[in-house]
Amino acid sequence: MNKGLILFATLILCCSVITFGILPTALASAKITLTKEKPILVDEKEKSVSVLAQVNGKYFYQTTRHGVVYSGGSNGDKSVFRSYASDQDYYNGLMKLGFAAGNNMTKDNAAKTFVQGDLLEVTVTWDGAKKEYSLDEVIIDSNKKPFLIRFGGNQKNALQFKTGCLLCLDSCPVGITSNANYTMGAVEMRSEVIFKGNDKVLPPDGSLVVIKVKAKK
Amino acid sequence: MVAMNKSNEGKENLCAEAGEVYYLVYSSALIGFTLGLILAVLAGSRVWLEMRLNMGHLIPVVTVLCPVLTLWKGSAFSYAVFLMEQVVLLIILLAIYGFDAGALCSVPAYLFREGFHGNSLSLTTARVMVCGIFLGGNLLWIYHGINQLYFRRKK
Repeated sequence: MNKGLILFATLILCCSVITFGILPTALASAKITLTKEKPILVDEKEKSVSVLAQVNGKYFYQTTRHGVVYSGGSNGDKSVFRSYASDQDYYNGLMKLGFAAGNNMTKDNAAKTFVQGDLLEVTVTWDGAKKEYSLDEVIIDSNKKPFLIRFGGNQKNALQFKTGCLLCLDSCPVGITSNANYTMGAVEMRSEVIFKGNDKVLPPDGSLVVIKVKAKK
Repeated sequence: MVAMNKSNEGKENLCAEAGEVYYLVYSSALIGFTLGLILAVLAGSRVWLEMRLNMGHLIPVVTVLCPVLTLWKGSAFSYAVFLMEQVVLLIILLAIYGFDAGALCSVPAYLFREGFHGNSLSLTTARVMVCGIFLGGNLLWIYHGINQLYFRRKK
């Protein structure tokens, strides 16, 4: 009987080890917890701002200078990502976390000035994504320069022009954050660079994504 | 009997006239739609314009303008014009986007969606609608041609 008990216990133990071994592990992907009603999350612990957005697949094939724009803004359909959070909420979130805005860009100096402000790291994820992808992986820069996203600020211009721009792909006097690699006009005036969404990485048109912005280490 | 024949003839003429007007409108709307799409694709390839204007708006504007001009002019476009427009559209898409099947299938659909403010429309639905317009347009035109041929032979 003792031998039987030991054998039975060993069998149970082996079955448990095998079962737990073959159970699928939870995917590393982040589950989207933001909603269209609550599209922004300011995480003071992590010091990050997360924004719910939608992929605009048009810019897999056409070039744009807009990375993330609020859907209610005048440029809402001109960006790779259509944000449900407004540019003002995004700005307020960054300010609340203590980021310093550059506020060095004006319409007059934009063509010759690179945006200043705190350097930020931008990542994108979605339901079913293998990881949090960097902005470099989801938006293609034809010159292959890694993005240098800075907190431009520009609240006054943003309120005045109502473009809805959260993140521009060249330095911008209106976008809340923008790419310091290029001055304004690099995309549409001087054709220095082409930006497109990366359809090999991003989910299809219309998919919801979460864009997270935090300080770059 | 003679009066009845005349009345029937009158009705037939009315039907024929209505048919002609219908043909004028739908054929020119198709021509307009394709022309609008060609213009939207061309204009959309200019980044400066694309960043400032909604190129898709060219599609409904030209689609409506064409029948108005045709009705005013009083004569319809031929099927050859519609066929040629489709070939031109394909050549322009190939010239701008190359042999990228994704772009060729998607760009007209995106412009169509943009033009009719249908951002809530899925890309698949937009693609089906654009294909449906071209397929339906070609079939209607061919049907009209066969109809015309049949009535001519009957006379």
